[in-house]
Amino acid sequence: MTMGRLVDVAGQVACDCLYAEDPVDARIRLDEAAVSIETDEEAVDISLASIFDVRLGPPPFAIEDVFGSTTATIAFEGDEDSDVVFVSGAESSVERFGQVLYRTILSDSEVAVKHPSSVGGRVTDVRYDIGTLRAGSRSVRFEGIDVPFALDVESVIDFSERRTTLLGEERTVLDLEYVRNGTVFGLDLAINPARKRHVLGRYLRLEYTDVLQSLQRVQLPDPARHLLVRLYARQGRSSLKSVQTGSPNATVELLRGLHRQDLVTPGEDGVQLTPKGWILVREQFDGDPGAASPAD
Amino acid sequence: MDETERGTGPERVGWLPSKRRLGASYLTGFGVVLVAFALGELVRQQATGFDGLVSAGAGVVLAGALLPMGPWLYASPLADEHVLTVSEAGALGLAIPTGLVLVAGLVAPMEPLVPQTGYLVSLMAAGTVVGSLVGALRALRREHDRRMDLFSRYRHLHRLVQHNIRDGMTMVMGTADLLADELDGASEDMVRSIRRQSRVIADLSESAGSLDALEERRTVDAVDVTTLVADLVEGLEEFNPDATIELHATDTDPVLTDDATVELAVWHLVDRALAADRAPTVEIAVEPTESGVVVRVTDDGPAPPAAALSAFADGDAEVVRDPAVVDAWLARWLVEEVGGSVTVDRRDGPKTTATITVPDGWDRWRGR
Repeated sequence: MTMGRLVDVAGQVACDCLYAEDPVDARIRLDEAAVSIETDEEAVDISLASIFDVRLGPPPFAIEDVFGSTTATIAFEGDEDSDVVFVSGAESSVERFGQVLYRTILSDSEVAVKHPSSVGGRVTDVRYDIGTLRAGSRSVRFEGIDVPFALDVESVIDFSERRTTLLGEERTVLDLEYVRNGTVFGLDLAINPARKRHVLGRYLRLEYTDVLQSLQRVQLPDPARHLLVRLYARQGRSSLKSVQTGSPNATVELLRGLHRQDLVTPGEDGVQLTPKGWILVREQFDGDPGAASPAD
Repeated sequence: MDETERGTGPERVGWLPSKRRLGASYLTGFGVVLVAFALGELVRQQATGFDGLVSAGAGVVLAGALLPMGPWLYASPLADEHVLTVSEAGALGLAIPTGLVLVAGLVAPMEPLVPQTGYLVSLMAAGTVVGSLVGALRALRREHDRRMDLFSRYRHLHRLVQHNIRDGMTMVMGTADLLADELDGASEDMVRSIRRQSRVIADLSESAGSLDALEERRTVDAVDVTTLVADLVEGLEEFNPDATIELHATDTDPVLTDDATVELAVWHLVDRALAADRAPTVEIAVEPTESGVVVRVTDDGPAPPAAALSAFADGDAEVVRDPAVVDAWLARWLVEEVGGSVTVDRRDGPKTTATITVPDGWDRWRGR
């Protein structure tokens, strides 16, 4: 990444730091060190080191009328107190601004990773390794560890935080699960400095949150549910025959339907659950012990 | 049937004969005595008229039924102690009615006694036959229950093993995937071969589950095999993007058969062909025959071992050791349920052809 200006967008900004009650037109610039906001009357620099949260999504309820559908919400440590700035504008430019902001804040951070902490639901005895995080376009890559790896934010299917003792220190660790070729991998992750944890969490959950919302509307007929459960019981990937419910043609037809809905995809072993498919089965069938018995 | 399966004990224990021999001999011996007795009675009753002849004749028939029962029991799949129980039940069947008649005769003596001896022989023979039959039914029932228990335990164990193999292999394959992405050259090839072999094991553990389909009841209907295969191929193409599937289908008349069984059998053969190579070309031909339809599935992958093919041709399932032919065996077992057959040949140059013959149920009705 070259030094200098990374993004330069025009939009509306709302922030206490601008001493204005209503959103005002502004130029928002991002470079390697800070976000600069320039209005007709004020100019404010927010150092990247002071930012502890970035959220990309619909605007808060209070300013919904003024702001567009996509708003970047940046929380940072101000001079006296923590402060928030809302940035809105053309959807594509706000989206781009947010993505680059995430990448700039996160890249080159030191991370402790335990990967894979589980494979297909089975816990491994892998230990923590220290490396560097590189944030790409909707993906993160972990380097400088024994087995480097990358993951796309759309492959994340579960996310939680947990306090634990790591390298002799009490830390908050991100526990996440992501899907690769239908199989779920666990990843335990701590980032240094700790204030970047929220930003990293938000970045990794970009897609997950959207998918979770879109799945609320998905209603599947029983045979399709059975088929997904069989695939789930086979840890997300299987030959076509093994997930058979009903006649072969009916099974293949169901699979094609699920493929169209992006819940399953053809894979090396026959068929595999997509991240969306995984989130759906976890959401709909978890806690229903009969639904996913090994006998299925 | 081998000896262990029949539950056969030693022929003699010390100077005692085995329970099997004892039980079988008892019934045969008793049959011989009763037949002789009844025949004697038949001769004696010739002078006494119709009643006497009928009663003694019935005795000959009933006692005669006991004669084959001994050898049948001896050769039956029943366990030794069950064979003895059957003969004991026969003895009980003899003792109860005979005893009752004797007691009745003593309490209220009847005249004349001569025709009643014929009835008594029939009664004794009938009692023994009924007793043995009831005993045999009970023994068969117990044997059946025992086997069902055993079967369900095998099944549970199989599910447990299958489940664990599947989960374990998921872990092996997943970890191999992660490593393969970060490696190159020979190391990558090695990891990929771990990956491939794990898949073979995982698939194999699943294929036994297909046997469940054999248990299902079959319904017979007019089935258009060409359409059925065409639909299946269309779906399979979507999930096997690396494979080339060519369908050469001639229009065929519907045949009377079970569609789910035929579909599954064809699926097994197509799957076998698809698994033969990384990017296989599979040709599927559907043609009518005089008495049904044949489906030929040809692939250009490596040949299954000659030994596996000749064992398949001989129908020797005991030597199924090669994963490459397991699907063909499953297809055969399935299609045999509807009177069909499966052959696998390696005649066509470097290609392997599996042929499935589906007979028309109508022809069987018409006795062709």
